[in-house]
Amino acid sequence: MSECEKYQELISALLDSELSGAESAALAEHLKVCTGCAAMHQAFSTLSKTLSEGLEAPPAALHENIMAGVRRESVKHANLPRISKPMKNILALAACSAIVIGSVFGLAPMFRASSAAPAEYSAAAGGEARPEARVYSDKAAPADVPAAPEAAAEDAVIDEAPADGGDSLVAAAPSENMASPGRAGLSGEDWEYLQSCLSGEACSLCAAELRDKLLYTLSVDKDGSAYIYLLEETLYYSAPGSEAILRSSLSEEEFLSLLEILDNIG
Amino acid sequence: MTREQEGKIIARVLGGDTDAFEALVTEYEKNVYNLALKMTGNTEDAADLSQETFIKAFHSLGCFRGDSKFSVWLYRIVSNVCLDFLRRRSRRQTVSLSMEDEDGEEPQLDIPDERQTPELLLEKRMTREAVRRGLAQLPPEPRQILLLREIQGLSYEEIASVLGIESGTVKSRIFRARKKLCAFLLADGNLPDYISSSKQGGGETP
Repeated sequence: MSECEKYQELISALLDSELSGAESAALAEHLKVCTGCAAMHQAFSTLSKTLSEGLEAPPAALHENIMAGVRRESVKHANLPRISKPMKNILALAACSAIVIGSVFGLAPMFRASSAAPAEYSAAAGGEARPEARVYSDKAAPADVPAAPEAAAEDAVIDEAPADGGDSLVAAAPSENMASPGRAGLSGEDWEYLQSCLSGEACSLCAAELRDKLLYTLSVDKDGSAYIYLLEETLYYSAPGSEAILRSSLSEEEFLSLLEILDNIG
Repeated sequence: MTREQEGKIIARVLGGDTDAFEALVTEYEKNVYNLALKMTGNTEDAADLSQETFIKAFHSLGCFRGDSKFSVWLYRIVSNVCLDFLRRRSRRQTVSLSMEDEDGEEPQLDIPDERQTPELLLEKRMTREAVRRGLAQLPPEPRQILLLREIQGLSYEEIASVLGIESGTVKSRIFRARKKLCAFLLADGNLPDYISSSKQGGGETP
Protein backbone atom coordinates (compact mmCIF):
# COMPACT_ATOMS: atom_id res chain seq x y z
CA MET A 1 0.00 0.00 0.00
CA SER A 2 1.51 3.31 -1.02
CA GLU A 3 1.87 6.24 1.36
CA CYS A 4 -1.08 8.04 -0.26
CA GLU A 5 -3.21 4.91 -0.15
CA LYS A 6 -2.69 4.76 3.61
CA TYR A 7 -3.88 8.35 3.90
CA GLN A 8 -6.83 7.60 1.65
CA GLU A 9 -7.87 4.79 3.95
CA LEU A 10 -7.71 7.33 6.78
CA ILE A 11 -9.92 9.68 4.76
CA SER A 12 -12.51 6.94 4.53
CA ALA A 13 -12.29 6.29 8.30
CA LEU A 14 -12.46 10.02 9.02
CA LEU A 15 -15.81 10.28 7.22
CA ASP A 16 -17.06 7.42 9.38
CA SER A 17 -15.86 9.15 12.58
CA GLU A 18 -13.54 6.26 13.28
CA LEU A 19 -10.26 8.14 13.44
CA SER A 20 -8.15 8.92 16.51
CA GLY A 21 -7.02 12.50 17.19
CA ALA A 22 -3.43 11.76 16.20
CA GLU A 23 -4.49 10.14 12.94
CA SER A 24 -6.79 13.05 12.13
CA ALA A 25 -3.96 15.52 12.70
CA ALA A 26 -1.54 13.58 10.50
CA LEU A 27 -4.15 13.34 7.79
CA ALA A 28 -4.95 17.05 7.95
CA GLU A 29 -1.25 17.84 7.43
CA HIS A 30 -1.04 15.51 4.46
CA LEU A 31 -4.18 16.94 2.84
CA LYS A 32 -2.58 20.38 2.85
CA VAL A 33 0.28 19.23 0.66
CA CYS A 34 -1.18 16.44 -1.48
CA THR A 35 -3.68 17.50 -4.14
CA GLY A 36 -4.44 13.91 -5.12
CA CYS A 37 -5.54 12.96 -1.64
CA ALA A 38 -7.37 16.26 -1.23
CA ALA A 39 -9.35 15.42 -4.37
CA MET A 40 -10.05 11.95 -3.03
CA HIS A 41 -11.29 13.52 0.20
CA GLN A 42 -13.76 15.62 -1.76
CA ALA A 43 -14.88 12.66 -3.83
CA PHE A 44 -15.37 10.40 -0.80
CA SER A 45 -17.26 12.98 1.21
CA THR A 46 -19.56 13.89 -1.68
CA LEU A 47 -20.17 10.21 -2.27
CA SER A 48 -20.97 9.68 1.39
CA LYS A 49 -23.36 12.62 1.41
CA THR A 50 -25.14 11.45 -1.73
CA LEU A 51 -25.46 7.90 -0.43
CA SER A 52 -26.80 8.70 2.99
CA GLU A 53 -29.20 11.53 2.22
CA GLY A 54 -32.93 11.20 1.84
CA LEU A 55 -34.36 7.85 2.78
CA GLU A 56 -37.32 6.95 0.61
CA ALA A 57 -40.73 6.13 2.03
CA PRO A 58 -41.60 2.45 1.69
CA PRO A 59 -44.63 1.49 -0.44
CA ALA A 60 -47.91 2.02 1.41
CA ALA A 61 -48.78 -1.68 1.44
CA LEU A 62 -45.45 -2.83 2.88
CA HIS A 63 -46.37 -2.52 6.53
CA GLU A 64 -49.54 -4.56 6.18
CA ASN A 65 -47.84 -7.16 3.99
CA ILE A 66 -45.12 -7.64 6.57
CA MET A 67 -47.60 -8.10 9.39
CA ALA A 68 -49.75 -10.46 7.31
CA GLY A 69 -46.62 -12.54 6.61
CA VAL A 70 -45.64 -12.51 10.27
CA ARG A 71 -49.10 -13.67 11.35
CA ARG A 72 -49.02 -16.50 8.82
CA GLU A 73 -45.59 -17.47 10.12
CA SER A 74 -46.84 -17.32 13.67
CA VAL A 75 -49.57 -19.86 12.97
CA LYS A 76 -47.18 -22.12 11.07
CA HIS A 77 -44.61 -21.85 13.79
CA ALA A 78 -47.02 -22.82 16.53
CA ASN A 79 -47.49 -26.21 14.90
CA LEU A 80 -43.79 -27.08 14.65
CA PRO A 81 -41.98 -29.23 17.21
CA ARG A 82 -39.61 -27.02 19.21
CA ILE A 83 -36.01 -27.72 20.07
CA SER A 84 -34.81 -26.54 23.45
CA LYS A 85 -32.47 -23.55 23.61
CA PRO A 86 -29.58 -25.35 25.37
CA MET A 87 -29.64 -27.94 22.60
CA LYS A 88 -29.58 -25.17 20.03
CA ASN A 89 -26.52 -23.63 21.68
CA ILE A 90 -24.68 -26.91 21.64
CA LEU A 91 -25.64 -27.45 18.05
CA ALA A 92 -24.44 -23.98 17.10
CA LEU A 93 -21.10 -24.66 18.74
CA ALA A 94 -20.79 -28.03 17.15
CA ALA A 95 -21.59 -26.49 13.83
CA CYS A 96 -19.09 -23.65 14.22
CA SER A 97 -16.21 -25.72 15.35
CA ALA A 98 -16.44 -29.02 13.64
CA ILE A 99 -19.09 -29.63 11.08
CA VAL A 100 -18.64 -26.68 8.82
CA ILE A 101 -14.89 -26.81 8.91
CA GLY A 102 -15.23 -30.47 8.17
CA SER A 103 -17.52 -29.66 5.27
CA VAL A 104 -15.24 -27.19 3.62
CA PHE A 105 -12.01 -28.97 4.23
CA GLY A 106 -13.80 -32.05 3.16
CA LEU A 107 -14.78 -30.62 -0.20
CA ALA A 108 -11.64 -31.59 -2.03
CA PRO A 109 -11.68 -35.24 -1.02
CA MET A 110 -15.29 -35.40 -1.97
CA PHE A 111 -14.64 -34.05 -5.42
CA ARG A 112 -11.84 -36.46 -6.10
CA ALA A 113 -12.76 -39.42 -4.03
CA SER A 114 -11.82 -41.71 -6.85
CA SER A 115 -8.26 -40.48 -7.29
CA ALA A 116 -7.03 -39.14 -3.96
CA ALA A 117 -6.79 -40.64 -0.49
CA PRO A 118 -9.54 -38.88 1.46
CA ALA A 119 -8.51 -40.08 4.91
CA GLU A 120 -5.00 -38.79 4.53
CA TYR A 121 -6.14 -35.49 3.11
CA SER A 122 -8.71 -34.78 5.73
CA ALA A 123 -6.30 -35.65 8.51
CA ALA A 124 -3.91 -33.05 7.17
CA ALA A 125 -6.66 -30.51 6.62
CA GLY A 126 -8.15 -31.10 10.05
CA GLY A 127 -4.80 -30.61 11.72
CA GLU A 128 -4.42 -27.33 9.93
CA ALA A 129 -7.92 -26.20 10.69
CA ARG A 130 -7.89 -26.60 14.42
CA PRO A 131 -5.55 -23.80 15.46
CA GLU A 132 -7.39 -21.42 13.16
CA ALA A 133 -10.71 -22.38 14.64
CA ARG A 134 -9.42 -21.52 18.10
CA VAL A 135 -8.02 -18.18 16.98
CA TYR A 136 -11.41 -17.39 15.59
CA SER A 137 -13.46 -18.40 18.58
CA ASP A 138 -11.25 -16.35 20.86
CA LYS A 139 -11.42 -13.23 18.77
CA ALA A 140 -14.75 -12.87 17.11
CA ALA A 141 -17.07 -15.29 18.78
CA PRO A 142 -18.06 -13.38 21.93
CA ALA A 143 -20.88 -11.53 20.28
CA ASP A 144 -22.65 -14.61 19.08
CA VAL A 145 -21.38 -17.79 20.62
CA PRO A 146 -22.51 -18.69 24.10
CA ALA A 147 -19.60 -18.58 26.53
CA ALA A 148 -17.95 -20.73 29.14
CA PRO A 149 -20.33 -23.53 30.08
CA GLU A 150 -20.23 -25.08 26.65
CA ALA A 151 -16.49 -24.67 26.14
CA ALA A 152 -15.87 -28.26 27.07
CA ALA A 153 -18.40 -29.37 24.51
CA GLU A 154 -16.62 -27.30 21.89
CA ASP A 155 -13.33 -28.99 22.62
CA ALA A 156 -14.86 -32.37 22.43
CA VAL A 157 -16.44 -31.58 19.13
CA ILE A 158 -13.33 -30.04 17.65
CA ASP A 159 -11.44 -33.17 18.52
CA GLU A 160 -13.76 -35.06 16.29
CA ALA A 161 -13.13 -32.84 13.35
CA PRO A 162 -10.23 -34.63 11.63
CA ALA A 163 -11.95 -37.97 11.73
CA ASP A 164 -15.17 -36.49 10.48
CA GLY A 165 -13.84 -33.92 8.07
CA GLY A 166 -13.49 -36.14 5.07
CA ASP A 167 -17.06 -37.07 4.54
CA SER A 168 -19.34 -34.80 6.50
CA LEU A 169 -20.27 -32.84 3.41
CA VAL A 170 -21.29 -36.00 1.66
CA ALA A 171 -23.68 -36.54 4.51
CA ALA A 172 -25.25 -33.19 3.78
CA ALA A 173 -25.77 -33.97 0.11
CA PRO A 174 -29.45 -34.56 -0.36
CA SER A 175 -28.99 -37.07 -3.16
CA GLU A 176 -27.22 -39.70 -1.06
CA ASN A 177 -29.11 -42.56 0.51
CA MET A 178 -28.08 -41.49 4.00
CA ALA A 179 -29.81 -43.15 6.88
CA SER A 180 -28.81 -40.18 9.07
CA PRO A 181 -26.65 -41.76 11.73
CA GLY A 182 -25.42 -39.35 14.41
CA ARG A 183 -22.12 -37.56 13.89
CA ALA A 184 -19.75 -35.44 15.90
CA GLY A 185 -21.25 -36.73 19.10
CA LEU A 186 -24.80 -35.90 18.06
CA SER A 187 -27.74 -38.22 17.80
CA GLY A 188 -29.26 -38.87 14.40
CA GLU A 189 -32.14 -36.54 15.12
CA ASP A 190 -29.85 -33.72 16.26
CA TRP A 191 -27.61 -34.24 13.28
CA GLU A 192 -30.59 -33.87 10.99
CA TYR A 193 -31.60 -30.68 12.74
CA LEU A 194 -28.09 -29.36 12.29
CA GLN A 195 -28.19 -30.17 8.61
CA SER A 196 -31.42 -28.26 8.26
CA CYS A 197 -29.80 -25.36 10.12
CA LEU A 198 -26.93 -25.35 7.70
CA SER A 199 -29.17 -25.50 4.69
CA GLY A 200 -31.07 -22.53 6.03
CA GLU A 201 -34.36 -24.34 6.37
CA ALA A 202 -34.61 -24.18 10.12
CA CYS A 203 -32.80 -20.95 10.79
CA SER A 204 -31.34 -18.99 7.97
CA LEU A 205 -29.51 -16.83 10.49
CA CYS A 206 -27.48 -19.74 11.79
CA ALA A 207 -26.42 -20.72 8.29
CA ALA A 208 -25.46 -17.16 7.39
CA GLU A 209 -23.59 -16.75 10.65
CA LEU A 210 -21.66 -19.92 10.15
CA ARG A 211 -20.71 -18.93 6.65
CA ASP A 212 -19.47 -15.56 7.83
CA LYS A 213 -17.50 -16.98 10.70
CA LEU A 214 -15.87 -19.67 8.68
CA LEU A 215 -15.08 -17.22 5.96
CA TYR A 216 -13.34 -15.06 8.49
CA THR A 217 -11.43 -17.98 9.92
CA LEU A 218 -10.20 -19.02 6.54
CA SER A 219 -9.40 -15.56 5.31
CA VAL A 220 -7.08 -14.65 8.20
CA ASP A 221 -3.67 -13.87 6.82
CA LYS A 222 -4.65 -14.86 3.34
CA ASP A 223 -4.69 -12.32 0.58
CA GLY A 224 -6.35 -11.86 -2.79
CA SER A 225 -9.99 -11.12 -3.34
CA ALA A 226 -10.42 -13.93 -5.83
CA TYR A 227 -9.50 -16.34 -3.10
CA ILE A 228 -12.00 -14.81 -0.72
CA TYR A 229 -14.67 -14.73 -3.39
CA LEU A 230 -14.23 -18.39 -4.16
CA LEU A 231 -14.34 -19.29 -0.52
CA GLU A 232 -17.52 -17.33 -0.13
CA GLU A 233 -19.03 -19.16 -3.03
CA THR A 234 -17.90 -22.43 -1.55
CA LEU A 235 -19.39 -21.66 1.80
CA TYR A 236 -22.56 -20.40 0.29
CA TYR A 237 -23.13 -23.54 -1.62
CA SER A 238 -21.63 -25.98 0.82
CA ALA A 239 -24.53 -25.40 3.16
CA PRO A 240 -27.06 -27.25 1.04
CA GLY A 241 -23.99 -29.32 0.39
CA SER A 242 -23.88 -30.76 -3.06
CA GLU A 243 -21.09 -30.76 -5.56
CA ALA A 244 -23.63 -30.41 -8.34
CA ILE A 245 -24.86 -27.08 -7.03
CA LEU A 246 -21.34 -25.85 -6.59
CA ARG A 247 -20.35 -26.94 -10.06
CA SER A 248 -23.31 -25.30 -11.72
CA SER A 249 -22.78 -22.12 -9.76
CA LEU A 250 -19.18 -21.60 -10.78
CA SER A 251 -17.59 -21.26 -14.16
CA GLU A 252 -15.24 -24.07 -15.20
CA GLU A 253 -12.30 -21.78 -14.54
CA GLU A 254 -13.55 -20.82 -11.07
CA PHE A 255 -14.25 -24.40 -10.23
CA LEU A 256 -10.72 -25.47 -11.18
CA SER A 257 -9.12 -22.70 -9.17
CA LEU A 258 -11.33 -23.64 -6.26
CA LEU A 259 -9.97 -27.18 -6.40
CA GLU A 260 -6.48 -25.79 -6.53
CA ILE A 261 -7.12 -23.57 -3.51
CA LEU A 262 -8.63 -26.39 -1.54
CA ASP A 263 -5.59 -28.49 -2.37
CA ASN A 264 -3.34 -25.76 -1.05
CA ILE A 265 -5.22 -25.35 2.19
CA GLY A 266 -4.12 -28.80 3.30
CA MET B 1 -37.33 3.45 21.10
CA THR B 2 -35.02 2.61 23.99
CA ARG B 3 -33.30 -0.71 24.40
CA GLU B 4 -35.42 -1.39 27.44
CA GLN B 5 -38.65 -0.78 25.53
CA GLU B 6 -37.45 -3.06 22.78
CA GLY B 7 -36.58 -5.74 25.30
CA LYS B 8 -40.11 -5.62 26.68
CA ILE B 9 -41.65 -5.87 23.24
CA ILE B 10 -39.43 -8.80 22.33
CA ALA B 11 -40.37 -10.58 25.54
CA ARG B 12 -44.05 -10.12 24.71
CA VAL B 13 -43.58 -11.47 21.20
CA LEU B 14 -41.68 -14.48 22.51
CA GLY B 15 -44.48 -15.02 24.99
CA GLY B 16 -46.89 -15.46 22.09
CA ASP B 17 -48.15 -11.91 21.47
CA THR B 18 -47.58 -11.75 17.71
CA ASP B 19 -49.18 -8.32 17.36
CA ALA B 20 -46.58 -6.78 19.68
CA PHE B 21 -44.10 -7.34 16.84
CA GLU B 22 -45.82 -4.59 14.87
CA ALA B 23 -44.11 -1.89 16.95
CA LEU B 24 -40.73 -3.18 15.79
CA VAL B 25 -41.92 -3.22 12.19
CA THR B 26 -43.10 0.37 12.48
CA GLU B 27 -39.81 1.45 14.00
CA TYR B 28 -37.49 -0.17 11.49
CA GLU B 29 -39.34 -0.78 8.23
CA LYS B 30 -38.12 2.43 6.63
CA ASN B 31 -34.46 1.71 7.29
CA VAL B 32 -34.76 -1.91 6.32
CA TYR B 33 -36.57 -1.00 3.11
CA ASN B 34 -34.00 1.63 2.18
CA LEU B 35 -31.09 -0.72 2.69
CA ALA B 36 -32.81 -3.32 0.52
CA LEU B 37 -33.58 -0.63 -2.04
CA LYS B 38 -29.96 0.44 -2.34
CA MET B 39 -28.77 -3.17 -2.36
CA THR B 40 -31.13 -4.31 -5.12
CA GLY B 41 -31.76 -1.09 -7.01
CA ASN B 42 -35.50 -1.61 -7.44
CA THR B 43 -38.55 -1.02 -5.30
CA GLU B 44 -40.33 -4.30 -5.93
CA ASP B 45 -37.44 -6.50 -4.81
CA ALA B 46 -36.77 -4.14 -1.92
CA ALA B 47 -40.36 -4.58 -0.67
CA ASP B 48 -40.21 -8.37 -1.03
CA LEU B 49 -36.87 -8.60 0.75
CA SER B 50 -38.05 -6.28 3.53
CA GLN B 51 -40.98 -8.56 4.13
CA GLU B 52 -38.71 -11.60 4.10
CA THR B 53 -36.42 -9.88 6.58
CA PHE B 54 -39.12 -9.19 9.14
CA ILE B 55 -40.55 -12.68 8.81
CA LYS B 56 -37.10 -14.13 9.40
CA ALA B 57 -36.54 -11.81 12.33
CA PHE B 58 -39.83 -12.91 13.82
CA HIS B 59 -39.02 -16.55 13.19
CA SER B 60 -35.53 -16.28 14.74
CA LEU B 61 -36.39 -13.88 17.54
CA GLY B 62 -35.60 -16.62 20.06
CA CYS B 63 -31.98 -16.53 18.80
CA PHE B 64 -31.67 -12.82 19.67
CA ARG B 65 -29.74 -12.72 22.91
CA GLY B 66 -29.82 -9.01 23.50
CA ASP B 67 -26.07 -8.54 23.64
CA SER B 68 -26.20 -6.30 20.60
CA LYS B 69 -28.81 -3.70 19.74
CA PHE B 70 -31.93 -5.13 18.11
CA SER B 71 -31.37 -2.80 15.15
CA VAL B 72 -27.88 -4.20 14.55
CA TRP B 73 -29.26 -7.72 14.69
CA LEU B 74 -32.05 -6.80 12.28
CA TYR B 75 -29.65 -5.13 9.84
CA ARG B 76 -27.58 -8.26 9.81
CA ILE B 77 -30.65 -10.14 8.65
CA VAL B 78 -31.68 -7.70 5.93
CA SER B 79 -28.11 -7.43 4.80
CA ASN B 80 -27.75 -11.20 4.45
CA VAL B 81 -31.16 -11.61 2.88
CA CYS B 82 -30.17 -9.07 0.21
CA LEU B 83 -26.76 -10.62 -0.30
CA ASP B 84 -28.29 -14.06 -0.83
CA PHE B 85 -30.78 -12.57 -3.23
CA LEU B 86 -28.07 -10.82 -5.25
CA ARG B 87 -25.97 -13.96 -5.38
CA ARG B 88 -28.91 -15.99 -6.65
CA ARG B 89 -29.69 -13.29 -9.19
CA SER B 90 -26.11 -13.08 -10.43
CA ARG B 91 -26.14 -16.84 -10.94
CA ARG B 92 -29.15 -16.47 -13.18
CA GLN B 93 -27.67 -13.66 -15.23
CA THR B 94 -24.94 -15.41 -17.15
CA VAL B 95 -24.57 -12.74 -19.81
CA SER B 96 -22.47 -9.76 -18.85
CA LEU B 97 -24.41 -6.53 -18.71
CA SER B 98 -21.43 -4.42 -17.81
CA MET B 99 -21.36 -2.33 -20.96
CA GLU B 100 -24.78 -0.84 -20.51
CA ASP B 101 -26.64 0.30 -17.47
CA GLU B 102 -29.81 -1.30 -16.20
CA ASP B 103 -32.19 0.99 -17.99
CA GLY B 104 -30.33 0.60 -21.26
CA GLU B 105 -29.73 4.33 -21.36
CA GLU B 106 -27.02 5.91 -23.40
CA PRO B 107 -24.14 7.06 -21.23
CA GLN B 108 -24.49 10.76 -20.55
CA LEU B 109 -21.96 13.14 -21.91
CA ASP B 110 -21.31 15.67 -19.23
CA ILE B 111 -19.27 18.61 -20.37
CA PRO B 112 -17.33 20.04 -17.46
CA ASP B 113 -18.06 23.62 -16.63
CA GLU B 114 -14.68 25.10 -15.78
CA ARG B 115 -16.18 28.15 -14.07
CA GLN B 116 -17.47 26.07 -11.20
CA THR B 117 -15.50 25.13 -8.13
CA PRO B 118 -14.39 21.51 -7.82
CA GLU B 119 -16.82 20.97 -4.97
CA LEU B 120 -19.82 22.19 -6.95
CA LEU B 121 -18.69 20.21 -9.96
CA LEU B 122 -18.51 17.08 -7.87
CA GLU B 123 -21.95 17.52 -6.34
CA LYS B 124 -23.43 18.20 -9.73
CA ARG B 125 -21.98 15.10 -11.27
CA MET B 126 -22.27 12.73 -8.37
CA THR B 127 -26.05 12.70 -8.49
CA ARG B 128 -28.09 10.08 -6.70
CA GLU B 129 -28.82 8.52 -10.06
CA ALA B 130 -25.12 8.29 -10.92
CA VAL B 131 -24.36 6.78 -7.52
CA ARG B 132 -27.24 4.33 -7.95
CA ARG B 133 -25.71 3.16 -11.23
CA GLY B 134 -22.31 2.94 -9.61
CA LEU B 135 -23.72 0.88 -6.74
CA ALA B 136 -25.34 -1.50 -9.20
CA GLN B 137 -21.90 -2.22 -10.64
CA LEU B 138 -20.35 -2.85 -7.27
CA PRO B 139 -20.20 -6.55 -6.28
CA PRO B 140 -22.73 -7.49 -3.56
CA GLU B 141 -20.22 -7.82 -0.70
CA PRO B 142 -18.63 -4.36 -0.91
CA ARG B 143 -22.09 -2.94 -1.55
CA GLN B 144 -23.33 -4.59 1.63
CA ILE B 145 -20.56 -3.29 3.87
CA LEU B 146 -20.71 0.24 2.45
CA LEU B 147 -24.47 0.46 2.92
CA LEU B 148 -24.34 -0.87 6.48
CA ARG B 149 -22.19 2.16 7.15
CA GLU B 150 -23.86 4.79 4.96
CA ILE B 151 -27.55 3.91 5.28
CA GLN B 152 -27.75 2.21 8.63
CA GLY B 153 -25.00 4.26 10.21
CA LEU B 154 -23.45 1.31 12.01
CA SER B 155 -20.04 1.79 13.63
CA TYR B 156 -17.07 -0.29 12.47
CA GLU B 157 -17.41 -2.37 15.60
CA GLU B 158 -21.08 -3.05 14.93
CA ILE B 159 -20.39 -3.91 11.32
CA ALA B 160 -17.62 -6.24 12.49
CA SER B 161 -20.11 -8.10 14.67
CA VAL B 162 -22.70 -8.19 11.91
CA LEU B 163 -20.27 -9.68 9.41
CA GLY B 164 -18.16 -11.70 11.84
CA ILE B 165 -14.93 -9.96 10.85
CA GLU B 166 -12.47 -7.71 12.68
CA SER B 167 -12.99 -3.95 12.74
CA GLY B 168 -9.62 -3.41 11.08
CA THR B 169 -10.93 -5.44 8.17
CA VAL B 170 -14.12 -3.37 8.15
CA LYS B 171 -12.03 -0.22 7.77
CA SER B 172 -10.08 -1.51 4.78
CA ARG B 173 -13.11 -3.09 3.10
CA ILE B 174 -15.15 0.10 3.37
CA PHE B 175 -12.23 2.03 1.95
CA ARG B 176 -11.89 -0.38 -0.97
CA ALA B 177 -15.64 -0.24 -1.60
CA ARG B 178 -15.56 3.57 -1.74
CA LYS B 179 -12.55 3.52 -4.01
CA LYS B 180 -14.15 1.05 -6.34
CA LEU B 181 -17.37 3.03 -6.44
CA CYS B 182 -15.39 6.16 -7.30
CA ALA B 183 -13.64 4.21 -10.05
CA PHE B 184 -17.02 3.32 -11.57
CA LEU B 185 -18.21 6.92 -11.34
CA LEU B 186 -15.01 8.03 -13.00
CA ALA B 187 -15.40 5.48 -15.79
CA ASP B 188 -18.98 6.67 -16.31
CA GLY B 189 -17.76 10.24 -16.57
CA ASN B 190 -19.36 11.16 -13.27
CA LEU B 191 -16.17 12.24 -11.62
CA PRO B 192 -13.81 14.93 -12.89
CA ASP B 193 -10.56 13.60 -14.30
CA TYR B 194 -8.37 15.16 -11.66
CA ILE B 195 -9.60 12.56 -9.21
CA SER B 196 -8.03 9.88 -11.35
CA SER B 197 -4.52 11.24 -10.81
CA SER B 198 -4.80 10.22 -7.19
CA LYS B 199 -5.88 6.72 -8.07
CA GLN B 200 -2.83 5.66 -10.01
CA GLY B 201 -0.62 3.01 -8.50
CA GLY B 202 -3.43 2.03 -6.21
CA GLY B 203 -3.25 -1.58 -7.24
CA GLU B 204 -7.00 -1.98 -6.94
CA THR B 205 -8.01 -5.59 -6.79
CA PRO B 206 -11.18 -6.78 -8.45
